[in-house]
Amino acid sequence: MTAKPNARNWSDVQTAIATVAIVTTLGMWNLFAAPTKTVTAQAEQPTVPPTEPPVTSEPTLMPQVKIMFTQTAPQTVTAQQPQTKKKKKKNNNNNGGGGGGGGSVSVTQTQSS
Amino acid sequence: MAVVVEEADQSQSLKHRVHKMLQRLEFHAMGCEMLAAIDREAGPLTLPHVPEWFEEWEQVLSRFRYDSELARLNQIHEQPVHVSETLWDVFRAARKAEQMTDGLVTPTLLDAIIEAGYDRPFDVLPHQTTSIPAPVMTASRPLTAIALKASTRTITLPFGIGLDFGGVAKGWAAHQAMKRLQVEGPALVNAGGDIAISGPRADGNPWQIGITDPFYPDEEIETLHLNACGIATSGKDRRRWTRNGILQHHIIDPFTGQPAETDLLTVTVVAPNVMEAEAAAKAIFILGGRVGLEWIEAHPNFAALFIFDNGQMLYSRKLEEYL
Repeated sequence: MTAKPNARNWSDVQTAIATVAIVTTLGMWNLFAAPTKTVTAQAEQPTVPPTEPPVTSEPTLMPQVKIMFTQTAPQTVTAQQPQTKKKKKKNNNNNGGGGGGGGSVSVTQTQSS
Repeated sequence: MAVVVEEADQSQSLKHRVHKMLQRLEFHAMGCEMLAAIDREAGPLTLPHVPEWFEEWEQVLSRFRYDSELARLNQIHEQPVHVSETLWDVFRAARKAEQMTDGLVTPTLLDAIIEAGYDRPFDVLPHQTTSIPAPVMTASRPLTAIALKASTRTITLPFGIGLDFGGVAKGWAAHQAMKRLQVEGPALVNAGGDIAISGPRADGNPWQIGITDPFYPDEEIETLHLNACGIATSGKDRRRWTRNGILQHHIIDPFTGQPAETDLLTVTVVAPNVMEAEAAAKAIFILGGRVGLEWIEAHPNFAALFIFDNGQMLYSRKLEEYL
């Protein structure tokens, strides 16, 4: 009648060993699984080119330069300064009326020669 | 060929109106439309004679007239040829332009421009030509290869060199005409876009000069206010044609012997005189936008407006003074 307590004790030991084994396995799993995930995540990020220094205009080239686009400019507007569209004036090269200083009409025009 | 008198803004006082009377004469010469103007009240005596001056100069300097002095000079090699004072002066102006532009603007490209198809006045040049491709032209030879003797005013062309003064001749002619007209009052001469200005107008104001929009030739893209100076524009928007299906224009790169390949459509330059303006505009056009901007900013007496093929406009810093 004394064997039953011994058997119960052995069963308890087995349960304890199994519990420890499971806990250890999960612990180890977490320990090693986490860095792997991190590495994978880093590897999946898109390749970023090396950072280049910001492009700055040379002082002798671009400062104070106005850039505008006429109506025919086909490209996307990428002006360095806010654009101000010049109001175009009619050419009156061939008539004798108007003209003279002080007005808004040119005396003559320059064009490709 | 009557002299046209322009009257100014009616809202001005009578005194101002009198000072703003502008006498102008338009005529055709050197393959271009010309304008001569004097800002004065009474009819100037010299203005009607301007077309005669240009005819006289064209007979000396034209490469399209087979009996011109230049055409005769181009047929004689390895022999000293005595030349007129006009041709001598223009040759010196061309040499200055060549020196100023480090050889980019030179009159020794006659064979190259003919090879490109520009072998007759542009008025009668067919817009499409075909010809047997010739060997690629080599780089031009500098004017220093030409022997000069100032005491006898003789020029000796070596074999293989012909002269085409082109825009230099027009700029020189505009400058000479302006110098003659300014005796009678503030004067302006426009030789096909190369403009010489003697000084402020009679009322002290600057002259208003428009820059033609190369995309819309009936409109001005900018207006400048100028006193004593020269202004000129070079570009590939007007004098161009196709040869064997390839677009050609009249500005030759001396280092390739071919029409210049450039990202610029037109370049307008303001300079102390019209001959310098003409040479600078052509040099910048050949250099292209990036190097051309460096060039213009390195010359503090020059101002420029670049118009690129895509319509982008770029102003040099000094040009702000004239807006």
